Amino acid sequence: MTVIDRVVRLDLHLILKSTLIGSLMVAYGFCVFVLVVALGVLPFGDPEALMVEPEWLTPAFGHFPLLDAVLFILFGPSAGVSLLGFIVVLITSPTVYRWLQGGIDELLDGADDEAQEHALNVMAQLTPHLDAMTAPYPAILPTIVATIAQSLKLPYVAIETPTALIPAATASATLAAPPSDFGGEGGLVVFGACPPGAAVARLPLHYRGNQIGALHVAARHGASLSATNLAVLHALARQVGIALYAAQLTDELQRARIRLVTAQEEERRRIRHDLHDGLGPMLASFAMQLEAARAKLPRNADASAASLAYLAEQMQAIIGDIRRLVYALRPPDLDEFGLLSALREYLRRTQSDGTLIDLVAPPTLPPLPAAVEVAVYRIVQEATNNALRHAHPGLIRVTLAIELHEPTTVPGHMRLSVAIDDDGRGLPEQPTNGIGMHSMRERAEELGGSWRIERIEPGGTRVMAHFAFEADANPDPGRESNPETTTDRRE
Amino acid sequence: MIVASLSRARALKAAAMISFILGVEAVFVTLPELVRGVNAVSIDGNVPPYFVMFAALLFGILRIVGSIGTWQGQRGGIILTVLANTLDMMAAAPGILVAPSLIWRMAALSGVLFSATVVVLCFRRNATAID
Repeated sequence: MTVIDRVVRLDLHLILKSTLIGSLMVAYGFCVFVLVVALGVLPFGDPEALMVEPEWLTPAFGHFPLLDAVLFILFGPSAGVSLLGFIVVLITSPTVYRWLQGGIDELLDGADDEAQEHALNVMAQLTPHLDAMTAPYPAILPTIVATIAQSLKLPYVAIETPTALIPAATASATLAAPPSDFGGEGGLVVFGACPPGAAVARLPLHYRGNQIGALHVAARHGASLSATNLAVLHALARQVGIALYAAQLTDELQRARIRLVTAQEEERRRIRHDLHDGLGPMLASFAMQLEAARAKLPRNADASAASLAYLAEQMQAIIGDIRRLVYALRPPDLDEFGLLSALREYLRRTQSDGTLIDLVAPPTLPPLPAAVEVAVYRIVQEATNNALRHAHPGLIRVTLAIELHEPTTVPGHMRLSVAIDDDGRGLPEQPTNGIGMHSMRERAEELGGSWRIERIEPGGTRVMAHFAFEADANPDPGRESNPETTTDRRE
Repeated sequence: MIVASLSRARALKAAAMISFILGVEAVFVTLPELVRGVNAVSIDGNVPPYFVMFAALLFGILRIVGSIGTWQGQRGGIILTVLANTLDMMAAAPGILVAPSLIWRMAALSGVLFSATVVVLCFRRNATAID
């Protein structure tokens, strides 16, 4: 960076601050020196008679009267008086400098007489973001820290929570993270970077007398937080505490909802196992035994034979009903072969003339929660059926992608994305929100995921769903692995 | 001290009033002398040099303008008031020792003290209710 670049990029705030401090300190030092000299000289007579111009300064005199006066005052008094003046200035300067710096910081950094009004102004800037918020509520926290930092011109603002509300980092990393108020177990939503060595103010966030978080704030490098800014931050902390409580409530509600749906699917899987592996075979064996018993009856027991035959038929019907019930609870292929094979088998069965169906997926998938598998399977099922029924496409491509945010050796965060693209007629101008689309959206959102449908160019439709979840720490030991190829084309 | 009990709003209004009065006083005192011309002022040994009075007039005008903004609590007005009074302080301070007469010396001293008071009042901070 050249010198010109450095000058052009100088912060106007810094220039103004430096000018004010510099001029005030020079004025202070000079005036104090003059007053000390005046006290040391005036009581004894005329200053011009008692003060002597140094001979070595004679060439400097006579050019500019003010300069003459200044030089005369600085070098004219006796050595003792001059020394006393300099000592007084030196001793008092640090205190005056600190006081001036604090006053200038407050003057330049948006000091207001009414801290509450300033806090309301900051909250007013947040209101449009709150009104427009469509993402899960914890996502408002980055907006809050950014608004506070920008309004109060602070380099670092962070909200600490007892638990991590937002997975992974949502803002820039800090150069030096402050000590945690919650033993380092919580989450940190950060805006900006903490200047090295800067003092960090920690304001507790309360709701109904309980501390639910902390607001961390750092001033600019070499400066301290002004009293007005601290007052504004205390006023803001009350509002931020309420917003944080709402975010935590929303987060707990979503987690509870996920637990509920997951438990529901796990329970369905268990019931399916019990019915398919237990009751179903028993009933089938019973039917076979009935047939065997009927075959052993003497020829004259026609009536008994007819009854046994009827019972056998009824038993077969019951077995059929149980099989349909088992399938409705949870597709059996998911438990027996895994998601990839189940999808492949379904797409093969769904294959129609004139439509190419393409499955693009990783060779293997890590163990997935049962609820997520069912949701993905049902969404693919619904989306492909809709495409075949309404869009008449030449190609349907189902794409699965999985991202791992943390090592899977320990439970961590995973993100599964599924997209169903077709090159058919596309969405109508005013698409109706039918039962199928409502069902797909609900399946994704009840697990904390997202779903959307959109046009793609040059023509066609895309259905996308995303799921974020913890890695399954207790995978089903009975599930087979899936050594699959990457794509599967069928015509 | 009176200053210690003032809120920031009142301190700014006090600073604005004092700065305005100083500015008007500087204009009324220096303008008649400056109108006489450089030569007349230079010959007259009972008044400060021409450029000192010109600087006082200039700073007086800046003080009047800055005091309006300071009265309204505007940051720009406060900064202008601080700078104008600081520069006037530096220009007036030598007069304490080298002014041609006792009256001018007292005027210089009072100018320095009042300017310093204005600066202190402009940097007056509120007493805060921080726990």
